[in-house]
Order: sequence, then structure tokens, then C-alpha cells
Amino acid sequence: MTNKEILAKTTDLVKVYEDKMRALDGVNLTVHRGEFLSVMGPSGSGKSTLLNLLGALDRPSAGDIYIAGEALGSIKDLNRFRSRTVGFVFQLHNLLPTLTACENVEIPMFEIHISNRERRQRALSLLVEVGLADKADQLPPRLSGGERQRVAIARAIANEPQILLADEPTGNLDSTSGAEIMQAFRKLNREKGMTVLIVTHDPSVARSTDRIVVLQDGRIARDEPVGDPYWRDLHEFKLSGLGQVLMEGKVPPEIHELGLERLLPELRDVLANL
Amino acid sequence: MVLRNLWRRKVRTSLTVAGIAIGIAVVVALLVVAEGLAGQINDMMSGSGAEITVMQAEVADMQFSILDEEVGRELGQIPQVQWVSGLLLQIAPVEKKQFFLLIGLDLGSDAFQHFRVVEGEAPKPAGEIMLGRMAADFFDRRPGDSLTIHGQTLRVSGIYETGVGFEDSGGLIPLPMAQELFKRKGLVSFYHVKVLPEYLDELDHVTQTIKDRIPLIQAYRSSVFGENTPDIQVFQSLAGIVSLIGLTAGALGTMNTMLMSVFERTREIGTLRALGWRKGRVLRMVLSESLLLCLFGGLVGIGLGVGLVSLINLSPQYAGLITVRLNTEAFAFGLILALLLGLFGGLYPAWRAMQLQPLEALRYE
Ligand SMILES: Nc1ncnc2c1ncn2[C@@H]1O[C@H](COP(=O)(O)OP(=O)(O)OP(=O)(O)O)[C@@H](O)[C@H]1O
Ligand SMILES: [Mg+2]
Repeated sequence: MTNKEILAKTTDLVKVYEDKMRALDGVNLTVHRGEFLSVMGPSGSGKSTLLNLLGALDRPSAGDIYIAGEALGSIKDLNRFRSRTVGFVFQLHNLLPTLTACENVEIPMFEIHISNRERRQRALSLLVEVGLADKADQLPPRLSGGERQRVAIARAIANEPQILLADEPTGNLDSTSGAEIMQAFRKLNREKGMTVLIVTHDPSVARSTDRIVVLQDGRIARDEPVGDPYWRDLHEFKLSGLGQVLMEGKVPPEIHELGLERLLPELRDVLANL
Repeated sequence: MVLRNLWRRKVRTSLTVAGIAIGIAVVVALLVVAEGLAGQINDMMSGSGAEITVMQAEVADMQFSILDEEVGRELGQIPQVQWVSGLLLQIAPVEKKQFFLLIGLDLGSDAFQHFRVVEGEAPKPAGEIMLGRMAADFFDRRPGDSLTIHGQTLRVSGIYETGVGFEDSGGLIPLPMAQELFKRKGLVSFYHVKVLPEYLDELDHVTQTIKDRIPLIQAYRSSVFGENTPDIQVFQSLAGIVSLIGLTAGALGTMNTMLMSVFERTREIGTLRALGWRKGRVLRMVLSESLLLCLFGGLVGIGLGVGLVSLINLSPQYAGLITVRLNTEAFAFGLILALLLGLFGGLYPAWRAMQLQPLEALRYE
């Protein structure tokens, strides 16, 4: 799955805010095309800062960023970069409340010049991809938190970006909706080869990705793959609907159908200790 | 999208639309009235059949225009002139409480042809008056009845119609009688000047000749006389000042509404910018909203203004005095003003929206 083409690379990245806060202090991060990775770390460790720099929402104080072969510092047209090269998903979905789900997905496509019809067609098929075909004409206040975040994902990939950046996309969701979102990311990564970078607080969310980067005081403290796919899949299972039901102490009908009741205590034990 | 952004604050949008509408309504109403009045005067002067109308120079008000009959004789001597007819206009008290326009006219002149007698007959010089159709209805008089004008009781000889509101709501008496009644022996207000057919192509030249030959008078083509009277000009400059004040208030209101709307949407605008929207597109979005807001205000205002004038026109006192027609000019003017309001009111808020930094706007709360 993962080939070795480098998609994004930072070298000695430093970000100092006006109040002398050294939010990033020499970060060297390399992301390959098709990777699905997460960035963890305590509050204030610089996770959002790193993401904003990668998405060209802010400029570094020192160091360089290369994305898709281009040095960010030398890009003249940042709007073009933001609309085509990166896709953003925010912690708060940041959907426009007066626009329907479909119209929200259409927003980034105003900057690429296609007909109104085509824009709408593309938005609808993106909504199908995130499983919201029937909610296209709903206004965001009438969608659940998880549905809103899935609309935001559809919006982020509208212009087929090279990399999807998400800042705590599950931070404001209950664990079931959070699992749905992670599945949506995983699907994009598997089926489209989309490179996905997620900032998160939740170790289970992080372990359901392929690689975890831990930031501490503006530096990378650890950067390792989620070693055994067995554990990764277990985390993904824990986040899934079935896993959630099990964790709540209930017995899903599937267990009865398969006659696996005797495995239940052990399964619960494993999930709880993940 | 623009529409929905406006609609999300229904009360605020409606109030702003109402404010703009009132401002535009006043402007349109004043414009319609000014044009209606000028049009009436023009119809009156052109109705006589004369191409040129002469009045005293530099008077503050049409009513004060006085010309000696000597001027009439001099006009008659100009080679291009076919005939000259004097006219004495006076706003006269009727039955103590009311006023109407009394016209003193030489009944033998061609200008009298304009007054179509529909009932009874033309007034005789001895104490008779002919009433306009609307005046006759308003005062409820038929031929044979009597009516007190300026303290003098006159017999109604007949009823005329001209189709011009000012005339139909007034009365007509022979010129010498009017001169006696208002103590203006040998004086008239205006002269109708009919030009010989072969000189009709050179009306401007004839008008200039008249002005050059006779001192202390003004001469205009009858068809544009109204716009040139001091009455209409004073009215128009007053209307201009009132409009300017109203429109300034309208622009400030629009600006306030749009600024508030930009501030409360800071995060949304940040989102749009983070998703790659260019500054220009954000600017266009806010400006469109402002223009649309003012367009609504303008349309409502034009309707309101015309309605207002029509309403005034319906009251018996003023009935028919103003020809209300929503000429394309007033309509276009109202719309253009509204769009200018939208542009000026929206420019600064749109600029503010454009200057928002995406990251800071996203963090805003
Ligand atoms: N615009 C700013 N101006 C000044 N300081 C800032 C700004 N943004 C972030 N910081 C500071 O930089 C440090 C890193 O912030 P950042 O938002 O990257 O942390 P984070 O890892 O995303 O934290 P959290 O998990 O709470 O979201 C923090 O100490 C923060 O206070
Ligand atoms: Mg953060």
C-alpha cells in the first residue's frame, strides 16, 4: 500500500509566536504518499501549530515545508494551494449554518472553474462516499455531530487534495460517532490512497492509524508505526459500533448468532486494557 | 446563498430594508411631485397652442410674475410672432375658506380654444365665471349658480374641461375682469407667444431674439417652462437636500447592518478563506449581500413613494393637481440610488471581511 514517495517534509521547523512562545522547536517530519498517521501530545505541545503550518494557514518562523514537491515559502498563490493541495477538517465542523450539506461541500469548488451543474453533481457523489446521500439538502443544525463532521470531510476532499489534515476531528464527538469518522478516514485512505494526517488526544483514535507521532514541547518525542496490524485492527474494532456495544456491557445479537458467548469476558478484558 | 445570509437575521434585515425604503420613498415621492407639478405647468402653457411662454425675470415665485401690456405690444412687433395672448394667474380665495387657481384670459384670443366648454357657455364680461370640471364638482356648482371669489359674488356661466389638473380644478374669467378684481390694471402674469409656422424650426433662435429685444423678462419654450419656473427650482433644490440627508442615513444604516453581519460571521469567513476562497470572492459575497439588501429597500421604497403621492392625489383638495405616473425616470433613479447605497454602505464592511486573516478568524469567538 505505502510506496516510498515523499509527499510532505518539514526541516527544522520553528514557530515562535509574538509573545516569544516557542510552539514548535525544530520539527523534522516526513510523510509519504498514502500514509495514515496521527499526531498526539499534551495540550500546548504544538500539534495545531504544526497542522496550520502544513496547511499554509500560518507561516513558520524558521525552517522549510515541502508539500508535493513545492516549498511552501515560495508559493505565490496560497489560495490556490489551500483550495487544491490540502483539505482541512476542523475540530468544530465549521459548516456554514445557512447552507445545506450539499452546498457546504460545494464551497471549495467555487475556486476551480466548473459549471454549477457539475459542482452539484460532484458534491452529491462526495456525500454518497461519506454515506450521507439522503442528507444532501439538510441544514447543518439538523444533522448529528458525526454527520456534520462527515460533511466536513466531504468538503475537505472536494478538490481532490494531496493530503487531508484534520485537527481533532473526533474531539467533539461521542465515541460511536468518533468511530464512524475514523472509518470514513480509513476508507478514503484505503480506497483512494488519500494521505491522512490526524491530530488527536485519544490514544485509541491514534492507534487506529498506521503511525503515531508524539509531540512534546514543540519537538517530536516519538515517531513510530503502530507496530502489529493485529493491535491496530483491535483498536479499530474497539472504536467500531460492535466494540462500543461490547464495552457498554451489552451483548450484541451477533454474538448469540455465532454462539460465541463464552468468549465474551476475555474479549471485554482485552478491549478494556488496550 | 446571499439571500439566505440576509434572511438569517430576519428582523435586522427587515428593519434595514424598511429604513432604506423610507429614504428612497421620500426621494421618489419628491421627484414624482416635482415632475408632476412641472408637467402640469408645461401642459397648461403648451395647451394654449403657443410655443413660447414669457414671464418676468428674477421673481421668487410664479405668482409674482408681472408684465406690463407694453411687453405684449413689443412681442407682437417681432416679425416671427403670429399672435400674443396675455394671461393673469392668481390663487384666489373661494367662499372664504378655500383657494383655487383663477385664470384671467382674453376670451377672443386663440389661447381660449384650449378651454372646451362642456356645459353652459363662456363667461360674459359682467360678473360671470366659468368653472373647471373638478372645481364645479368640488364646490357643487352648476351653470346659473353663484360663487364668491375674492369677496365678489360671480354667476357660473358654464363648465370647461382641459384635461390639465391645475386648470380643471380652477376657474376662468375674462382678462379685464381679472385685472379689475385683483387691481392689476394693464398688467398680466405671462404672455403666450405663438410663432409663425415657417419659424417653428428656429424656436430657440426666436426665444433668444425675444430675450434680447425686451429687458427684464424671461422667455422659455412652453414645453419646458415648468422646470424653469422658480417654484419648481426651489422645490427641486429642497428635495435634493432632503434626499441627500435621507440617503446618508440610509448608507450609514446599511453599513452598520453589514458590519454587524460580517463580525458575527468572522469564523465563517475564516473557514471560507481556509478552504481556499480568495479575498475577492469574500469581497464580492459581502457586496452582493449589501446590494441585494438595498435593492429590496429600493423596490419597496419606490412602491411606497408612488403610493404616497397617489394617496395625496386621492384627497379631494389635491385631486388631479399632480399627474402621478411612475415614469421610468423616477423608477430608474430610485433603483440607481438604492444600488449606490448598497455599494457605499457595503464597501467598508466588505473590505473588513476581506482583510480578515484566515487563522485568526477561525480562532475568533
Ligand atoms: N496565535 C497564537 N499566539 C500566541 N501563542 C499561541 C498562538 N497559538 C498557539 N499558541 C501557543 O503555542 C503553544 C502551542 O499551541 P497549539 O495550539 O499548537 O497546541 P496544541 O498541541 O494544539 O494544544 P491543544 O491540544 O490544546 O489543542 C501553546 O502554548 C499556545 O498557547
Ligand atoms: Mg490544538
